[in-house]
Amino acid sequence: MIGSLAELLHRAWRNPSGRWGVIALLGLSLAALLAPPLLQDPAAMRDVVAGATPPSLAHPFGTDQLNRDILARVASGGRISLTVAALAVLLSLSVGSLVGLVAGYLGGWLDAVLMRTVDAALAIPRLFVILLLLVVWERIPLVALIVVLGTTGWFATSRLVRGEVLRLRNEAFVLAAEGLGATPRRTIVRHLLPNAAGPLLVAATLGVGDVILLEAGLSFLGLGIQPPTPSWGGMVLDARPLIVSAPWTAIFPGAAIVLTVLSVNLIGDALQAALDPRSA
Amino acid sequence: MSRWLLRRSLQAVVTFAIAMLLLFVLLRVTPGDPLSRLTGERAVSERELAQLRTRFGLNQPLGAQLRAFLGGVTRGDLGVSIEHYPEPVTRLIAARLPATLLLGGTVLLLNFTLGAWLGVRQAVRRGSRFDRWLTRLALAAYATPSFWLGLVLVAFVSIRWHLLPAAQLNDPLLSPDAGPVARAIDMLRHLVLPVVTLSLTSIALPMRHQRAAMLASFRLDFVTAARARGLPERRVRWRHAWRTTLVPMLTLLGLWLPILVSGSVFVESVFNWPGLGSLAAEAIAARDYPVLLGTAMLVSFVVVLAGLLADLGYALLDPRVRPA
Repeated sequence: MIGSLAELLHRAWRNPSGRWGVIALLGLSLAALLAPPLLQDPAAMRDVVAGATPPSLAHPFGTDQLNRDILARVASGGRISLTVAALAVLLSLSVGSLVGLVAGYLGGWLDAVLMRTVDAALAIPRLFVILLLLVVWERIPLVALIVVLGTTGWFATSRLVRGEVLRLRNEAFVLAAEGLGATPRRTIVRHLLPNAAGPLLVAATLGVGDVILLEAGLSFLGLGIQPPTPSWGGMVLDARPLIVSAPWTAIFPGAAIVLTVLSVNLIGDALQAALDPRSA
Repeated sequence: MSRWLLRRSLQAVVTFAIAMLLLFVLLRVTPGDPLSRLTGERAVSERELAQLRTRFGLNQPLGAQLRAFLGGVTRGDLGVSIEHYPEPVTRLIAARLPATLLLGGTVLLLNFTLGAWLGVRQAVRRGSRFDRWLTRLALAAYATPSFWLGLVLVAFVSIRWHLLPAAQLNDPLLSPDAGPVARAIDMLRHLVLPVVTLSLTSIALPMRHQRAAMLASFRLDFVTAARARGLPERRVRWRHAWRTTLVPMLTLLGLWLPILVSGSVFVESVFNWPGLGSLAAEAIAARDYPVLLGTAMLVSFVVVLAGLLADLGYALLDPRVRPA
């Protein structure tokens, strides 16, 4: 089963979109990870009177209204964005898989209750759930943001996993394992989960893109990552009054969001195409 | 058919009821008494606070609160705004609904006609350069934050180049004796940038969905049979293949609505569009919990209703789903 996952990754890599996505994402992540120590302190204000200065050799992306280096802020904002997205998706993937496995494997009334709840939860737009959860905080701790993003993103995943479990339940290899006395736990961990790995991987990849966009939007509304910690959405919010006089303050953080989410989604698209070549 | 209809409607009611229950739980798990947090920075006397508590039923046991909450929802009473106290939330929402329907409706129409048409073209020319690049473009548009795209468009198209208005539904300086045509043109000009922003950032889903559905229907036997009978390709494409994709596209509509509403929160606040989205954005800034909650309830209601209507349309289009 691990073999099929490797095969999937290999096929996605052979797709030019997937390859570009991986290369771009690696480049962006490396830049986000390695750049902050090399660059100026992103919080350092040097010459507040000078304010926002256009891109120059010293500041390739220019500086913001507090004369802070935008390149440094974009890089360290990226590190936070990527970390938040990765952790949130990991959380929602775990919860979604657990609920989907339980519902699909045990079935019965528990399945009915869980899936009815998921149906209802999907009817409330995720953004509004998150807004209602975050709006009461005076200052939103980063952990709370991750937990809120993670616990509101698993509904579709649980449906997906449940579907996979129902599809695989009566396959010969699962019945054989059960016939040989495998415990439900072993059946789930060794047989069901690895076979659902492909669709889960696609969902996770696309989920990362969604969470990055969502977090940027929340930070733009002032409900995401709290200043002075730099975030892409927060930088666009700060740039709003300067958008005409100093457009670079908005353009670079926004472009960072587009590039990152695009490369993640290109990978997701390539994985999807590898998983289901007929729809590609 | 009528029994099926009854069962499906009942199911929609249950889904909506559970959604409301979830919102109530959400309300209760957030730390602290929402009112004391929300009124912390405001000059509200203890007496007014006690009044508000009674108004929102916060001094009652949980069971009674839940009953009051659900009772309010069924009566269409969404409580009163904190920021615009004592204005009822429903009235605030009603005032903002037309602008949102105009913006959202235009985007919906555009994405499910132009977007779907592009998806069909892609499926027809599958694997071509056109297909590959359109997919990449759609993914790039999908990756673009609407609030950022809106700001950039305002900065360049409106402020630098003076091509289109940057905000609001119409020009406040428009002379009062302007004719209906002038008014309509003015509103259309105001509509362009918000529509472009919201449409571009959300068109990928209908496009990709239509393409996949079209590819799936090209594989169906009766499409092959139609081709084998020598029918013109155009006729096969639209009369046979495309018609079967109406059902999955209808289903998508229900899934896509929440995306549209979430997008309009950002787009409307960037363009000062006087709709529900900017109402929600204002409610966030003012920590006006009841307004935010009321908007979420309305949207959930519309989503459940859209799902029901999609299934109805489904049954009308495809007799196989409805048991006699």
